[in-house]
Amino acid sequence: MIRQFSAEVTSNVRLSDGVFMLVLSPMSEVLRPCAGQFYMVGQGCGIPGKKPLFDPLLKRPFSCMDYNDGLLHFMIKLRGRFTAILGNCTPGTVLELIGPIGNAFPAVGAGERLIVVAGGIGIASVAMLLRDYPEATLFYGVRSANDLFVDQLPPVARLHVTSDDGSAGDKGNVLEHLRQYIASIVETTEGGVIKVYACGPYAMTEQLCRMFASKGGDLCKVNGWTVEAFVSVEERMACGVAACLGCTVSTVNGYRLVCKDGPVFSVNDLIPVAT
Amino acid sequence: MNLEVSVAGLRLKNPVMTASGTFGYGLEYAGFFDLSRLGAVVVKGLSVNPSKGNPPPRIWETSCGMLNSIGLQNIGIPAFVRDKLPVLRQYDTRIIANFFGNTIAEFVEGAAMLNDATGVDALELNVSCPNKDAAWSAFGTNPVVLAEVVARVRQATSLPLIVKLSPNVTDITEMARVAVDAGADALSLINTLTGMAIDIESIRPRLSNIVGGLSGPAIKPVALRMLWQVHKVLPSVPLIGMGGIMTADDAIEFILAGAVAVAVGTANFVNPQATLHVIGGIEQYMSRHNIADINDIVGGVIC
Repeated sequence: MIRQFSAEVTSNVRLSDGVFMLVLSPMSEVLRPCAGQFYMVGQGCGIPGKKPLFDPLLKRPFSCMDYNDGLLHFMIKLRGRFTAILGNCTPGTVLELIGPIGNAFPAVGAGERLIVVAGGIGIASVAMLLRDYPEATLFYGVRSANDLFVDQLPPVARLHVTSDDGSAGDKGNVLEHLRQYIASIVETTEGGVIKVYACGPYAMTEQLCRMFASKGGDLCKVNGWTVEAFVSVEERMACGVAACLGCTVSTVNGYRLVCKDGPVFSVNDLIPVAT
Repeated sequence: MNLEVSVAGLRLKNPVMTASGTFGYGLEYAGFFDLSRLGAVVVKGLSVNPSKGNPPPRIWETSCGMLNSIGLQNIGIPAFVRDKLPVLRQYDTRIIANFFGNTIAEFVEGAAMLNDATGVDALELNVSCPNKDAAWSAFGTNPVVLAEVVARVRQATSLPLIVKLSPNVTDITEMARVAVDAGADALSLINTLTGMAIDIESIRPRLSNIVGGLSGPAIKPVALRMLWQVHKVLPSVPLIGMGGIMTADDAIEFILAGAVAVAVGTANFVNPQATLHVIGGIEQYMSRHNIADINDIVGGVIC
């Protein structure tokens, strides 16, 4: 099935000053996305009879937050001109998409525990995991209560919210709370495998590598437990189909493409670059 | 209606090809449409040895355009010939291998390897990537060096030889003449314009390579002007026009300016089926204007 399609905006709701939920109805049959996959979203330019728009030029990658009743949900943070255009799309607007793209989060094995970690808008990249794994634990870190969108999520078995300013959940860094949580598990229960699936700002990815990488990570093997962490990363890309070679990330295996080899990478493979 | 054209003896079913570096090795787009619809597929620039390219970030969008500093990342000619070419050959289209070297000897070696590969229909000599260092840029900007590399490559292959010209020169007609005199059968123009963008908050360049190649609709007027200039001084040399072609209207402008064929580049990123829209739009234009043969309007602009 061709991965290029047009989709009509069915609703576009402002969730806060800086975040909106864009819901699209594909106008042809599409593939079902897996948790962690994303779409290139662009202004309609291949639509017959419609004058193409070339500014902004390129499509932009957005994680699929949910796929439900045939509708694609995108939770998007206002960042620049393109997201502003998407934020102002009214129902009926036709957009052009390519997707689903990328490798998705690996399946969680029977008996393995899943901890989902989101930093800010990173929740959009991991939310589908909560539907696939209702028993998962979610660590959700935000700057303040305004950035918290728990009501947009599927039901969560165990939710730990942290905020930088203490206006929601526990005050502090989400990864510090994650660290304490894992410490308590490995001390009180018999060994096994914990999967940590995460998406957040770059600093969070860096920190996750430091915590969980099998080389040098202080939490990757403790007390009979193994922690395997995977992170969804982003990079600027032009095409989304491994043709432009723009979306490279540095890995232990050399440069890899976010659109083809990612966006989900094991922390063992990523080489964080100091910013 | 005839859309068939001939570039340096190579028959193309229509004048629309893909611009090197924007279409991978072709197969990346095979899931979006039948590649047999294309006049030709021009693959990502190849070198004798694999090349890992530049560090990220490599892409920055500008007004109606984009900067890239991929840095000629490629899998190398042997891997292309072994893994990609046999699959690509199954499509009923022409395969043009864009290639480069870091030295004249490497250019020659690459040309010889591709010449011997089964299924390569023509070579496109890349002397114009803006992401290489200043010394390398001499291949595309210094007429003496250009003449030498074209002449040496000419001796290494019997395939049609297309030279892709850099716009980053004072007088592109001089470079065009030098390339043809040294043995080029056809010319592609233009490659990207060297550009730059700065993040004023971090006060650092947007690209890790600092500079990159500007492509997209922003460069189309420059590309069109250069193609027209070259066609005026070298009317019998087949020219492949490229630079910001997004639509059939853009392609027809290039044909009217003197291009016998056109290449769609950045538009492939925006819309994987852009080439099909261009082909369809050219057909519509021809029927609207009662043009029986596309060759009849090559260079037909009235100035």
